[in-house]
Amino acid sequence: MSESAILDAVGYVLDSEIRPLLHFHGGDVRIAEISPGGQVRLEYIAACHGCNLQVVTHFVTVRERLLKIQGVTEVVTNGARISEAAQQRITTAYSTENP
Amino acid sequence: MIEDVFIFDNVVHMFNASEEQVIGRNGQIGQEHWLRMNNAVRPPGDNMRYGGKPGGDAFAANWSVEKAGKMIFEDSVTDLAMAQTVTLFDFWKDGLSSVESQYELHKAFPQQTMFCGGVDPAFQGLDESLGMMEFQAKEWGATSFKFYNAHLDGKSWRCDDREIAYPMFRKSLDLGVSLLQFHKGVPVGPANVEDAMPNDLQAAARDFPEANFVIHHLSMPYFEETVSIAARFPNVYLALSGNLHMLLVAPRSVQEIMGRLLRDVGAHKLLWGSEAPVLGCPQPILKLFWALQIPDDLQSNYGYPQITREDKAMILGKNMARLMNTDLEAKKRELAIA
Repeated sequence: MSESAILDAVGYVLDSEIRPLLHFHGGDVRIAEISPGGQVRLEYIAACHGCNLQVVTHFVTVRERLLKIQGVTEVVTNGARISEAAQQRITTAYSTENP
Repeated sequence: MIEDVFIFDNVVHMFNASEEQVIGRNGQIGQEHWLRMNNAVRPPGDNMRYGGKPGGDAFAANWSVEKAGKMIFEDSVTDLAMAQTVTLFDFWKDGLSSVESQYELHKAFPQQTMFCGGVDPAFQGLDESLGMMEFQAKEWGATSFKFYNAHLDGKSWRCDDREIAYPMFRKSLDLGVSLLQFHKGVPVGPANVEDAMPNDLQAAARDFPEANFVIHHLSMPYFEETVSIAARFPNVYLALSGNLHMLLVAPRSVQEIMGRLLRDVGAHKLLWGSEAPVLGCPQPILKLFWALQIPDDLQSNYGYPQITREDKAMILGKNMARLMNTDLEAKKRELAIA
């Protein structure tokens, strides 16, 4: 899948599935970069920028959806990173298999 | 360089802390506090290594550009540094790190030193300060300005003061200088700590989106406020000026602080600052930082990410280069270190 095709697909998912959720509390996200290898780099803006829960939004709401797009190999965010242990904890807690 | 990582030190200071510089009782308290604070985190042995005598203090003196240059550029792997003016006219007659002495270091090592000017409207008046900014930028090539707004005797001013601070910020931008730097927290001697809170940079950062604001020292003890501000304002950066020297004294506290910053602010907002020569030769601190890891328990219990080689490369040079529009590959060729 070409970078422009990935860009279109990511943009569509962001517009249709993710931004409406973020806009609900004044937040937003933009695509900072898509690498040739399919890594999507995002930047959270508006109320999401600097929010302590940005990482939960990222791992539960955003990353999981975008990774389902063909050609997307990783989704990372500028300015907010957590440890693998914390990532695992968040994704497990919000997993549909762990109600 | 460390391996292929370029070292761009955000802050070094030429300084004159000789006794005849000190002003009155408050100056004496400030001098003693400043020396004690610096002695506590300086690499052991640097006093004697840089000319101190037993029982004497090599740092309670007027440093020459030759001695400072040797420490920074010969005894450490620092490639490029910014010499920053200090305007603490409460305690020292020339403010501690005069404009002239920073420019002298720049002239002595023009390829490796950028000149950061400084003014203080509390002591020099606003009109005079604006004029000096113009001179420092146009005649001496200032690429940044440093401000100290916490003073004694009611002289403190706020960075969101539209009548005092904003004319200086506008002047700086008019001169093509977009990097504005602020000593925050870590008051010297008997100054009020609350006057050095970083909170007044929020309105300034909002009102001057075309400028980049650098908070020094993580505004200790206002770390929480500093993290909140740097996380939310895209044009606010944090200089780790002196903070990483705690690796010598309390490495766990540095692991906690760095983990927090990586998690909530991001490595792209952090700048290495050695404070050499007063905090000693940067080399031991650079080595300790290069070896820094975030321990498993902090990763597990606080969600702090592991620090990566790329994080360290950004902190040690890439971020400052980006802010100063410095082409690192071209600079490496210029310095013949490519």
